[in-house]
Amino acid sequence: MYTEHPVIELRRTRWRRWSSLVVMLLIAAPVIARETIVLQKSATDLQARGADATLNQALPNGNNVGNTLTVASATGANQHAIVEFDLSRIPNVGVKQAMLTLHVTSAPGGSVTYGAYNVSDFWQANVATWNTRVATTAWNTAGGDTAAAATSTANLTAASTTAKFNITTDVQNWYNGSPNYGTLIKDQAANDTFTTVFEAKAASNANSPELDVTFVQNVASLTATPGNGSVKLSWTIPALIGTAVPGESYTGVVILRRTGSPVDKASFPTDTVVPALCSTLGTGTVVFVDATSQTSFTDNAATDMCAAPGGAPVNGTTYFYKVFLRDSSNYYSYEPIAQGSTYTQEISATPAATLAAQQNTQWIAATFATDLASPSLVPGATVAMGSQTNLLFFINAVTGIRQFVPISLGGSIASRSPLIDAAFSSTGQSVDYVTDQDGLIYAIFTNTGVIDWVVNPIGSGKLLLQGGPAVQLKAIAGGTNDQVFFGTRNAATTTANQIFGLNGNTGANTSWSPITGPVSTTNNGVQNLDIINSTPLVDYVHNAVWVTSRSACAALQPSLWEINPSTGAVQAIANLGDIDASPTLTFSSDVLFVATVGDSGGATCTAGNSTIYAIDPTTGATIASFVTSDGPAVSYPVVLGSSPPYTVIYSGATAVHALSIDTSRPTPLFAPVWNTPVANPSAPISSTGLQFVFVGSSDGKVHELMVTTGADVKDEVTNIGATKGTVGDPSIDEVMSRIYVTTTDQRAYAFAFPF
Amino acid sequence: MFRLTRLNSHSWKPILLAAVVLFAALQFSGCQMTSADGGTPPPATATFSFCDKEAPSCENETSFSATATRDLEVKVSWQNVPVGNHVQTLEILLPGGNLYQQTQMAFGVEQSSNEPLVAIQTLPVAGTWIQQRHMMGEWTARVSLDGQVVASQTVELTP
Repeated sequence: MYTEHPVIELRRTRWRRWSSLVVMLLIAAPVIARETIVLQKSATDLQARGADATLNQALPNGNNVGNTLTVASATGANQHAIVEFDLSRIPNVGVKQAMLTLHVTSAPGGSVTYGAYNVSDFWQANVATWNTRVATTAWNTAGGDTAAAATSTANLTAASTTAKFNITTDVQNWYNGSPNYGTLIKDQAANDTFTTVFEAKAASNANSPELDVTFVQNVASLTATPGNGSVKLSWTIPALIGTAVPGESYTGVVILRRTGSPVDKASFPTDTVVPALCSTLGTGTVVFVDATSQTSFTDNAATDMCAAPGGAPVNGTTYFYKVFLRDSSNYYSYEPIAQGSTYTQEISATPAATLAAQQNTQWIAATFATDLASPSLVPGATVAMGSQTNLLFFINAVTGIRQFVPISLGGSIASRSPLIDAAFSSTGQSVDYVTDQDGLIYAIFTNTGVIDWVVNPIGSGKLLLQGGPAVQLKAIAGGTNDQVFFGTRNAATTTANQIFGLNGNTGANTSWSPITGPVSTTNNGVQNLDIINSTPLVDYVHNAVWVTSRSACAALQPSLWEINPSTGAVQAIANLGDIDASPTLTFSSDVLFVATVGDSGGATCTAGNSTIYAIDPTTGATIASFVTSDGPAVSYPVVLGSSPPYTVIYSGATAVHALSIDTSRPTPLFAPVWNTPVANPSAPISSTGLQFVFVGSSDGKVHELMVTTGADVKDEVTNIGATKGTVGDPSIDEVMSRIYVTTTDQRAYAFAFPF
Repeated sequence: MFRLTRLNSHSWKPILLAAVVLFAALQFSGCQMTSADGGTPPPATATFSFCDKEAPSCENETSFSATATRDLEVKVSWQNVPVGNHVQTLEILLPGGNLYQQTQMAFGVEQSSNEPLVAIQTLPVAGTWIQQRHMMGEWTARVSLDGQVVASQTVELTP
């Protein structure tokens, strides 16, 4: 047991006691607002992602959205108010305080205590009821799923005009990876018969629900430029977006540095305390402390006198920097929560003697959990990625800054979600279609983050959606609207999975949707449909949707399906064995390539090697095949060339491989071109005309290979230190000349290419 | 008196909940959330078990083939959960410790009981990043109740 030594205690100096007292007083004092903002529906704050409703036990299946919210406690007639705010106006901040205020229109008849509870499940205001949270999906606990304890309570009387709740910890968690499903207000006492009515968002006036947030912004435009034994960091101090405390302002930054891996989330300066230069905060070393509004820092032998692990940067070593904006009262841009703060601006660079050997990230963004899907993007504008903490992120492709606070969905997102630019979308707006493991599919407007529609495609019950959706654009295919296609992953059956087609404007099933196994095909009788792990492929030339599936670990049932998107007719099938990879078409859509898993054995499934197939998309017949020797192919093959011969690049278990095939010949054959060892490679990415193919790896790097030879010419580091992650499938942005990847270290990275 | 309580899922595919009766009703009827001397109730505890969800018996094992396992079923058996609403947070950590997936599940316990509450969640394996990117080795499942870590358990995935 620890006991404090009395002598040591007596030897403490007086100044330390006084300093401790000062610190305690500062901590005990009300938060000094660096910036505050009132989030409340108005003409200038539409609260587009905000929502509220009353869950009424007496009308358990009735949706109650209107000008008022009601909280009541009575036997069989309880009412709960549920409120969610749109935090889009403050996407890149460290939250210091958040106060929820509800304005009373009809006060309770006596003294009553209400609790504000963090909601723990996804819900939709326009359909939520006492019993259900979305569509026909029930709450786990009728009346709303919430945390066990109230985050805050408020006492009301007959004279009350407001109810105020301090929900700071909940809001801070929302900024640190926990989904934001809002707040539920309910009476703390059972059956006390009191009822209070509050103004709702729909009232849209000064008495609508309001959230007053106190925060410190992050720095903006953070960059790292490596040199010879140095790294120069640059940033800007953001303009105010709220109301500053009079006479106070942002004054500078504190920078932590770590070697090999990002500074972890538990490493941050304590609010109101100035850390000493060269001190250690968690896994970071304090390498820069400034209160003079400097906007750059060069980390080199002249500026960094810290002992190891600080000190001048060493060539060939990757350094990660976490930059905290500070204000004149020494509040920093992070959330001071128990689990630590991930979301503070980060950047990394690797100094070297020569320009060719130097590396740096363009930006790093937190994703809070593993994601290895290829990020989706509007080139030059927006990068989107999901996470397995139910969050969907939209990142500014140029700056790496969140466009808005991540969107909280119902389940894990394990696939790429296609972004459709407004110019091509039948919705008239830029939209992202997302599937999740809660069995829901969403259409989300990318300029606001508003969920346009969300559906459970089977009505009641729950699917598991692993693969992403594919979109057939009305702008290209014609018809009345975009269509969205995806398949199910019900592992309990190898015969009865489903393929869906939805109206992209409404989420409604198309006339033929779903196709349910066993499937009646046009020319091949009834066929079983196993799980679908991949994203379908839209083939505009042949008016088809290609779907790959598993086939019970054998080649006795189809694993490649050609669907007519208009009629749902299954036009072609192929029994190729289990397929998890999405198919790939050539630029002219004259050849379709698919890669099997290579396993076999049926119920006693054992691993094997992938076979690459070239398929005639007009018939579904095999043109050529190639048995690989490097395990299953990862995610999808990439096809280069605008006409035959084509180069097919795929990743196996230990290497990246290139094949060539000239499909203009009468009997085409695959021919190996090169193999380049890369540890656990991701799917490759390249495009016709590029010199390079890029691939992620479990070594924490993105590898840049020559398309012609496979030579591994240069790598960029994501994280190669203590928390080294596996790098996911890259995306390529040819407008920005950038590569985007996500990793298992819970971050997304952007690199400029060529490396 | 004891009662069956249902925990329902929300993330990770169907998180089913079942209530499993381990002990005879007569032995454990009445309020069970206080100690024998009427003092502080025992703390909530949780134990893990893992099985191949599609296997006929779904027997508890500690190692699984990622090729042969379509879905891994993770069972969390709770004991001594107090009456009221709760949130279970289940974290699945990769070999090396990075977070793979985190899910939350809200549930309510309406009456004290010694019946263990069993929350079953499904981790897709076949065809996922786990198999495609060869994420083999010792994984960790860690469960929290209302923000407090209660238990963790490792499970091995092999090629």
